[in-house]
Amino acid sequence: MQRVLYFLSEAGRGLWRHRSLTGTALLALVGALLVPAAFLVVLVNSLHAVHTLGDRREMIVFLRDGATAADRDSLAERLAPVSRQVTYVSKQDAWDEMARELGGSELLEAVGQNPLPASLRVRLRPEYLHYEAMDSVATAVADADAVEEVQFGGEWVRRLDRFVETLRIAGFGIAAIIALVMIFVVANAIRLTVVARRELHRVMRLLGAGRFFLRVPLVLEGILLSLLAAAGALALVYGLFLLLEGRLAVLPVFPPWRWLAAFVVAAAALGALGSALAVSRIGHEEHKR
Amino acid sequence: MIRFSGVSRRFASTWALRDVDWEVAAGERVAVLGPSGCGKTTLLRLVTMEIPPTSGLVEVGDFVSGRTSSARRAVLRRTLGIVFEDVRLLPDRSVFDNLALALNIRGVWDRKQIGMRIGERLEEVGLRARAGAFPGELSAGEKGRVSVARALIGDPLLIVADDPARHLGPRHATLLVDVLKRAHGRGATLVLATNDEAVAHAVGGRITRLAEGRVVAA
Repeated sequence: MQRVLYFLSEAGRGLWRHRSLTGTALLALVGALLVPAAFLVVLVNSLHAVHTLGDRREMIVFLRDGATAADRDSLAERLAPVSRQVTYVSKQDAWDEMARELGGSELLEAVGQNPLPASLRVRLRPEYLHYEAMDSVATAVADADAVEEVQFGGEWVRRLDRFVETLRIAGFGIAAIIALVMIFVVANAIRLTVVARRELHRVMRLLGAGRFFLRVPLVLEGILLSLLAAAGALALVYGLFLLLEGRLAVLPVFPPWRWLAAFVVAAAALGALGSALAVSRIGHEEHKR
Repeated sequence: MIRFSGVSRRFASTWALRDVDWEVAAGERVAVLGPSGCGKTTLLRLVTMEIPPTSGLVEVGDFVSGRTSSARRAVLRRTLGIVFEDVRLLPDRSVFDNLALALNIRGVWDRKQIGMRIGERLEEVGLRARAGAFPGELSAGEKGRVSVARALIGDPLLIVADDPARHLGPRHATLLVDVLKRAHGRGATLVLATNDEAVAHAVGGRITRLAEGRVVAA
């Protein structure tokens, strides 16, 4: 415990001692992290929107006029493993629904006989809410004798899938670029600190300090720097979110704390990596020739 | 404990040591005496393996120059008590913290034990009341005494002291030599470099004389 406290206090002491360097690195890191923090808000809201839209993805299995109750039950049974809910809509229900939607019965009366087919409205399980899965379920069900036609808005589903995929790729791309930027900034900040502490390290080496003893406080400095920067970036984005809340209908939610924690942990990990790279030569004492 | 075999050391075009054969047995007390620039500091820096010899072999216990990795050199130094010629206290921490760091490096983390050992060593050099002071607040003599306290804090097997009495008046110089002799009495080997004949004799052991980088009397 004493050892952990020592390393932490050394890291804090280092950040404080070189506060202008710390401040510069912090500004650069907050600037770099603002991009993924803002993207996190956009991503969470996009996923929220996709989820809401995805819930509405429905498959409609139109039945032939001669389909019996047994045919219907058999179909519902076949759909059970892939669906959350299967609702039977009879010819009469479909007729009533259409009458309601058109706001009057005059036009429908003109048609005379009810031309609408009975159907099964299928709400699929979340794992089947993408084009390939929906298409294969539709193809399988369409083979049944009682089925007239299956509709699931294939093109629309395909577009939604493509949007989610684009969002994911953009997320990875931004994350990768920011990760490199973070590693670069942290590594350089720590490298400058190492240069500033060359004499200190020389004395400590002569007192018998090994690599671990010399490097750990510096790696912790990198982690602390990244944690502060991540917290700063999130605080700024949250402030912006509060300012815009209610004004922009497209950003209704702020990322939940698990996402925020993951963001901070990822930043800390990158900080650790950057500082570890910067200190990798420390302890390999330059033996003067 | 220490063996130099045909050791020479050159800095740029200047030879600081030439063809030195020298030995110090475990438990011995040795004063290395010579005028300024004769190679005393270089000799001690070779013992602590801060620098390698240009030619020849330096052996300190099981550690051999040229065959000791930086990790092993750290192990060696944790068994040494070094008093640097230029003191080298860390300016951003108090006397107490400077001494505590030397203990931490040796793996001592217990606060009670650290406090007790630092108290004893500072008492020995007459600076117990200055534990909270920073190096910038100390006189040159006080810094030298803190440096000796730091060297002794880890109960070293070998004390390597480079002119520890340099900034001291006769009274404090005698006190420091006595402190080092007491540490020797506790089992440490002592090698002390000085250009002061009186200090060398006060050490009370063998005197190695250096002149122009050569051992003239072992």
